[in-house]
Amino acid sequence: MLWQRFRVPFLVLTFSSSLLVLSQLALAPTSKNPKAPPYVFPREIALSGWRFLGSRPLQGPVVERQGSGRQYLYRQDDLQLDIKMRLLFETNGDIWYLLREHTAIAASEASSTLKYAEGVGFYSSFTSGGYAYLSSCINPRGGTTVTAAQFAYNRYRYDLSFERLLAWLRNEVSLRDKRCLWAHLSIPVRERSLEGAYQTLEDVWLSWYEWWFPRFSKA
Amino acid sequence: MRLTHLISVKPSNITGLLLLGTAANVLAIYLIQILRAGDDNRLGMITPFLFAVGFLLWKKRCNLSLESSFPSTVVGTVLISALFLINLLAFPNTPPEKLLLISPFVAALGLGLIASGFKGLRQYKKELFLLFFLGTPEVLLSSLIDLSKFTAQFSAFILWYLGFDVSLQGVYINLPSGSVQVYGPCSGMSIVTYMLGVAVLGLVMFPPKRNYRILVPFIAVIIGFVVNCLRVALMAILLAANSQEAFDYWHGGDGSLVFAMAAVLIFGGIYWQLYPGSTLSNQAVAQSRNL
Repeated sequence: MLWQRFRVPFLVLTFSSSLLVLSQLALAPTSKNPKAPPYVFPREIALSGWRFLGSRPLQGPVVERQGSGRQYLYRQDDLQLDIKMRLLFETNGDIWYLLREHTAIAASEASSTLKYAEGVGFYSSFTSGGYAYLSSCINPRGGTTVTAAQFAYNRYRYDLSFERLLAWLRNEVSLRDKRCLWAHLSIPVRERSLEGAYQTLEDVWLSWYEWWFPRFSKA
Repeated sequence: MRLTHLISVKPSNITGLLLLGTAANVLAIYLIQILRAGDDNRLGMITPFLFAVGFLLWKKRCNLSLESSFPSTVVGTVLISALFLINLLAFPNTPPEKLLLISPFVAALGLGLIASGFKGLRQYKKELFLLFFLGTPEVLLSSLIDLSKFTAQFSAFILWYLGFDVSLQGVYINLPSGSVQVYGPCSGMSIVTYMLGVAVLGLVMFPPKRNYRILVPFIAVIIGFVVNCLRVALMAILLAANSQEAFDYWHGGDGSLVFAMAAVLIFGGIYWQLYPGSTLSNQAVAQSRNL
């Protein structure tokens, strides 16, 4: 039959290719898969309209899914702004869960407000214990998110690309880039107005995001 | 058999020879990638499976039908070429772990199709079955189930039972002087699926008494889970006691292999009792005869 005449040459071809691949791998120098360099938070970040007071690294429980973190302090007149930034690997992007687990904020207070800003993304704004907070997760690709669902959407919408697939085959990255910069802003609330406090936080948040996003995207 | 018969390369032999050569190359590629990934641990874990498959094939080598149709060869070649492509694209690194885990089964499928076609795949039932359990369940199950919560709960329970002042928060095990987070590799999925593979290996190579057959996979999985939880408990204790060296040894170094070995040994011991000829199974047979 026709096929039988071609079978042996075909097998020879298959055998030779397997031999080629094998020799390619066997004769190559052993290279350890490259590890991503640890993320370094800058010591000082300028924020217009605020005086930079200082920054210090964040301590925390021994968690492997969490990279480093840094706390930045600013002052405007008599208002003190506290921004805590934490790098999370392999997260599901659930900010409210993180708030419950790592801060003294009660679940009911945190999950009360979810807001959206054009060009930035989702964020959660709320008050607790005399402070106004703004908490959100800066995604490496896509807008900022608060819930796991929003985070997952960004991962599927922006992370699955051909270049990423190639890099994944080379064991350099994971298919979905599940890193997140958790930004946690807080200012004390005055008797005058809650709205004013929220507005202040949102203005800070906009410029903060604009500073961080391009840098985090490229990292 | 005369020596010349062994080494003569007649036209009728050439197909078998080429197939054998290709299979050997594919196996070598798999082993080399594991070595290059630095996963010496894995190398030891797959050895029994490879020996079993080799043994099974060797037993029936004279009876294998090596007839393949064009479509089956094409499909088989596509599978094998996909593996080659992945390895080449990954070069000089190694492919991601998930792909390395499914490659034994995919390679076996591809080679089987090239060798014997769709119709002839039945001959390789056992071998395909074994190679499937050599890695694929881990890939399938890890995307469906996250054992971390259960592992954390059971490990916390073990610590509590041993008298430690332990508290559990989701996947965080908190001791007075430190906390551990149970996730990913520590969740135990890897060792549980490996134990499942070992159970399958036992069932295929050394079938126990009929009544015990359904028990074997469950026993294996439970042993794997419990041993992993003991390991996590040990990690928590060492971390809280601030002995970084001890922690590193048991966590990533040779110490972690001890737990895998212990799990397999315990399972082997239990399996031995279920094997025909042991006192336990003899009693069972005697009892069933008396009924």
